[in-house]
Amino acid sequence: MSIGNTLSIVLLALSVLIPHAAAASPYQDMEQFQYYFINRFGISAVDDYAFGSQAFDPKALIAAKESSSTVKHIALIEQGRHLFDTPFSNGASYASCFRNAETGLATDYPYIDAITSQVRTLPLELNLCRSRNGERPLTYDSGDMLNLQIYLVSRSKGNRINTIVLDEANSLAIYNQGKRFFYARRGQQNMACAHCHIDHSGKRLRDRVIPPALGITSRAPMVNDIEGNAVSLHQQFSRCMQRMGAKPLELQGVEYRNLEFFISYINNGLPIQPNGTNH
Amino acid sequence: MMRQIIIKHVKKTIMGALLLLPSALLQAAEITGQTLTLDENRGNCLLCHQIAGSSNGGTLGPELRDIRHKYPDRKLLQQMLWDASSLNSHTIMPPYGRFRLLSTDEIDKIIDFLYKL
Repeated sequence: MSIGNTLSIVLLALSVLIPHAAAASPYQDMEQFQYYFINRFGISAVDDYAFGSQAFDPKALIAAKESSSTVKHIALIEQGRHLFDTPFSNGASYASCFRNAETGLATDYPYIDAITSQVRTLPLELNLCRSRNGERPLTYDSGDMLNLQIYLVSRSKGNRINTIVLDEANSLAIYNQGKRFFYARRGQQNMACAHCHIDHSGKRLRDRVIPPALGITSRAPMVNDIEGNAVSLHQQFSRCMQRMGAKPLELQGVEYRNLEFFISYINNGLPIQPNGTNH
Repeated sequence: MMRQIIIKHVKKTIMGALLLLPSALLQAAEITGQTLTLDENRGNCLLCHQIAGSSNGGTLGPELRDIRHKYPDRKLLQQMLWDASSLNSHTIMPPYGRFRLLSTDEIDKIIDFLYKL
């Protein structure tokens, strides 16, 4: 085979592969993702997906919309509020780092920090605030860390997710890392996040209805209204990993933060719905 | 003195191993196809499938019933359990054999159980 022929074959192969390799833009991803759910389940009110699996059941959806926070949920919010307002040893408080807490700041996260070129999440910033004020960081699965988030997210109810992917190499690289994670098979079950939370959402894994990926960032941290405990988004990632027979990764580690960034972006426009549960 | 201590420890270890051996053998012998199918740490088939006689089965995959009629070719079913992606690259069925989650014998036991459903 001549060099010319070989080159033609290579170019032909590249012309077939490049559209897939280059893939869609983040905006196209988001449109296709949300359009898929609206079409597949015939739920035209995209905001209903903020209620998770309850969006699939008209009766459960009405009940969820009419329900108010449970006593346990309110108690967690109040604990979070108390922690937020309690001064650090130096006299400052979280309010010195989060100036718009009362009007809602949940939709300010995640974002890509221009200095570190990494994804910053709300839990990460809470700990950065503590460090800046001479306090030890909280562990990411601690009750205090979760309650602080529950309080701050409760102030953001109804605010719309607005994650920004800048049109520059680093932002796109982080977005694509999160996207690859979401679509990569992993663990002994050899399944990807997308298999369950896109393709098979609404079906059951054992007795658990699989929530759609659309709306998943509206309800974090998830409060179990019966047991009264809370689970952060990254803890949910770890639970999924365990169910798939994969080793959970570090909470607030780079992989999970990039995954959160991707999921949050494709959920843009949905409201924060902290009363939603994972039923 | 030191030699006696070493001999004592070796004897203890051997005795312990001998005591454990029969129960381990018995345990291995007792693992049935049904157990392998239902156990969360083995086949974990209920994660995705409903199975007659068991509650809380998932709905990602089809209900496991009439398997003998649906898959009369036992070898094909073995291949599906060993590595379903060899038959369908888009499958979400775990590659039990390829990932060494189950041995060939264990897959056979599961098929024996499934053929009774």
